[in-house]
Amino acid sequence: MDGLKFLLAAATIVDGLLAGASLDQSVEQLPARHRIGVRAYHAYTQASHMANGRFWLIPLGIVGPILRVAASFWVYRLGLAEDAVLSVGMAAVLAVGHLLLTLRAGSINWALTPWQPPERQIKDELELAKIFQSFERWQAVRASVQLLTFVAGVWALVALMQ
Amino acid sequence: MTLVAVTRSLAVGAVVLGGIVAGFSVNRLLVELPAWVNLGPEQWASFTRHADLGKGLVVYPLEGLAALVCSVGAAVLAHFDRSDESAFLPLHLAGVGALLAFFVTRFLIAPEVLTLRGDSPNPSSIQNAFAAVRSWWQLKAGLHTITFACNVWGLMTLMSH
Repeated sequence: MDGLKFLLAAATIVDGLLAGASLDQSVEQLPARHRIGVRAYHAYTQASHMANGRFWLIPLGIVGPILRVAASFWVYRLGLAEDAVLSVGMAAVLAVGHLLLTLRAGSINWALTPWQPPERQIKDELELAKIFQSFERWQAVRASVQLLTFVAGVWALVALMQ
Repeated sequence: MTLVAVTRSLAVGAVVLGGIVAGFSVNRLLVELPAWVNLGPEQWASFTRHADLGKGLVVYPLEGLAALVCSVGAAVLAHFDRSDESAFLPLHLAGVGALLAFFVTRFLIAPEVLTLRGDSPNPSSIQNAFAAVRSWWQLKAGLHTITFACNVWGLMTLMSH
């Protein structure tokens, strides 16, 4: 049982860090492109999310769902109270949901990565704007699901400790 | 609502709001600020004027203050509601961490960012502001992370008694 509590605490910390980073991207960073211009914003994303970001955000986005799914199996096997099973299970479902949304959002952003061959690098501002607009929509959904996962995770922690 | 319920609600609020603040701070330290080293402080200043000094001027202070109130409130109320003493250490650490992070943000980082508000700050003042923000942000992110972890620990201890 102590191991399960530790697992849920670790998952809560991972989810909180991920939700904070993701909300910042949706609330502050992406909208800033309308004022600094899409070319400048493109350069910024290549130097941030597609550089150091892949060593921080991608591991968080993978470890969180793994911890949540592991915790839900553990709770199910222990046969705990319905409230605990429901909250831990809901956090796991949401975590898998944001993992899938990340795959979708990432596939849109892939066209903007610096690893594209020169002939496929996008320079046209209209094309860049269209891709960022599409990414922004999916990112908003993803950030919302990541926030819900974090909140459900806190609920799960409270339910398990009572 | 009993005092115990208020303490617990504040502890939950501290975890949720503190987690978001910690996530944003660590992301800025590890992902965003290194990017501006490569792109140059003037690009950072331009982005900051449009982002941090735009919507961010309202969203982040509100979020940070709410997290601070929850952390300090939970630490103080735990003394009066007969919470188990084992919850005092994590809640006090979180309260102190949140206060220190507030002082670093308000008195060391915010003044530097606010110097960018003018129409055309000179390049050397931008360079100095960027160096100061980068340096103090390490302390801010560290404090928010410690506060968040202590709040999670404190909530678990509160709920188990």
